[in-house]
Amino acid sequence: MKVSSSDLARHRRAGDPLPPLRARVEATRDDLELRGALGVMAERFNGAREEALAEPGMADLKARGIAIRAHGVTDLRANLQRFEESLRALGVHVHHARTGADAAATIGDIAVAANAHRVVKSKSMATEEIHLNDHLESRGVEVIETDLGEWIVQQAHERPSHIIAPAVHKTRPQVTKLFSGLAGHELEDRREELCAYAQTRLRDAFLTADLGVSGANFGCADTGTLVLVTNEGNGRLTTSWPRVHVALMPVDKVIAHFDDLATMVPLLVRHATGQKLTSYVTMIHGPRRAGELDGPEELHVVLLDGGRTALLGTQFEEMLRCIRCGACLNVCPVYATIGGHAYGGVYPGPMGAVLTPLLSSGREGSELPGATSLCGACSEVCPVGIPLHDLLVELRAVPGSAERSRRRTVFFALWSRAWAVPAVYRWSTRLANLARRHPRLTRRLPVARAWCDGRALPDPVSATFHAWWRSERSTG
Amino acid sequence: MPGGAVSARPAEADLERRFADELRRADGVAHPGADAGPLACSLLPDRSAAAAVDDDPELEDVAQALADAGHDVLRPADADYRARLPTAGLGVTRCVAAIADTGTLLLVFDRAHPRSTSLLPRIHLAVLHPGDFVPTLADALARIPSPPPSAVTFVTGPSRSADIEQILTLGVHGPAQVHAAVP
Repeated sequence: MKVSSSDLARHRRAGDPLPPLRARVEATRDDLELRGALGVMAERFNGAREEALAEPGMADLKARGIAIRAHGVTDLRANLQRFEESLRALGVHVHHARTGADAAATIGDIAVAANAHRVVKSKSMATEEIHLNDHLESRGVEVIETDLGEWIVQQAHERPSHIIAPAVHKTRPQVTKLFSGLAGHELEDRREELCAYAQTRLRDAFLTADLGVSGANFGCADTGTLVLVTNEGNGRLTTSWPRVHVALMPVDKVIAHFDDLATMVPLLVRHATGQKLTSYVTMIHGPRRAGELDGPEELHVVLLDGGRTALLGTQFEEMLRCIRCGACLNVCPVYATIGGHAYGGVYPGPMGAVLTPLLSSGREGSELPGATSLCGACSEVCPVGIPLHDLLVELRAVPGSAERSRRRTVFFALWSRAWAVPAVYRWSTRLANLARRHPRLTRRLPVARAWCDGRALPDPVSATFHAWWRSERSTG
Repeated sequence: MPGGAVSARPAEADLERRFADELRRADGVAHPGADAGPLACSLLPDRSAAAAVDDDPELEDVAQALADAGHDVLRPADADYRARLPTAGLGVTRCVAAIADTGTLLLVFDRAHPRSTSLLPRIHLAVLHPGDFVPTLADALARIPSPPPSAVTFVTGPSRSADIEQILTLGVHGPAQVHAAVP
């Protein structure tokens, strides 16, 4: 099946068929515009992060962060219970969602009960995971993404390709063309003008929205604090202006103590964008109080399980430490080559290659752990010490890939038998050398064709080692 | 003069200087020694533009200066504050702490200090006092009142986005300019 990178970028509904991994990789690998954008992204993010982490005290910060997240996972159930009690004490409505579909339905019910016609959203990967926009729209509710990158992606009917830079796959001229189409006249191809256009359109959305949906970067069990770490201010507007606020929070985002934020927030920010702090770090404790002029009258927290607690006690539970900083995407040579869309799921890069198959109830993403280089750059950069490449190796061994591994076992067993016979070995090396001398012919052979695609054949040698050794011995 | 006060002063000055440096690094503007009233007026040269000023005894001078300069001044106690705030060009607030390490303002919200004063207008001016400065984020977290208010925000410089070409653009949804009147 032949697909293009723009096919892959397109918005996907839950259960939409996905082209096979090979086709996805081929489509994006050859898109030079995309490769260029990814290169720029990696350079900027990696440079800023390395600079931010070169400052004194960062090793201590990371050690504390690892301890906090490790405990967060070990004590997850107790923390969750405490978090829920703290939220209720603040007057927050708490909802539990076992699956993504449950979470979407719950938020849909809240919107309908609140008679909300227009919903503004701040950036949240969890809402992508549960396909919230499609669900709300199916119930007649208009949904407007307000993060600039997310809005670009929504207007283009596409999906995010990076967990913190959703529109990284789009170039400025592409955005200019898109916005000019929306505006109905040509906009200047300048970032400031494009941002100003988006802001004007979105300010109107904020002022007229009935309900705001956000994610949450952390939830503190002891205080019921919801923490949002943002740069644009759309997160503040989403949680300040509409009369109802719904925060969708995956259960793994709970940390035990409010004081841990002094560690977790700087650790997240430095790894995500290389800033010391983002422009805004907002901490919410319940709905607006009597007499206050802004903040929601009603605050709902939807706690999404979505396959997470099932990982507790397994060899994969460390993945629940992830704070979604995106650093592993930025250092990954595979991500840099194929971009986010080729991964197929909501979460791309190394964390996505681990998380997608783990959270999937079916076979979604089971091929991803095989499509990794195991170079270990992701494990090295991870702020919370997740051994990502070890988890990828372990995932390759889980039953999802059994059929493929059986075929491999048979192939290697036959190969080993064959090469144990000297004559067969000799003939096979001669044959291989012959094949290398005639690359055009070789490229047409059934199995070799797949191997040669994207790879160069090694240079032919003048003689096999055995032939050379025989001639050495006879002349010597 | 007691010795303790003398030795405390250089530390305070050091915190103020570090705060100002870090705020500049975060694309904000620090105005050391500025008188907040005239500063507010200079930030809003268009006399027909409205300004929002939080209800705070320490901001009465600024509100008066803006009114004297001919600006329409919105206060949270006004019945139509919420309806008119989207038209304001400047929002003036106090802060509960100013973090020297990061150039960050800690804003604590309540009925007299709405979330939107520092959010909707294109320019945000925070008026700082000598006791506001703390070294780290952990120190500022300790200044959040207990029980905690419905919302607090740590503000570090203006609103920004790098979503187009991964290059920074200021002022996307929140203020494009953040000024601090530093004592």
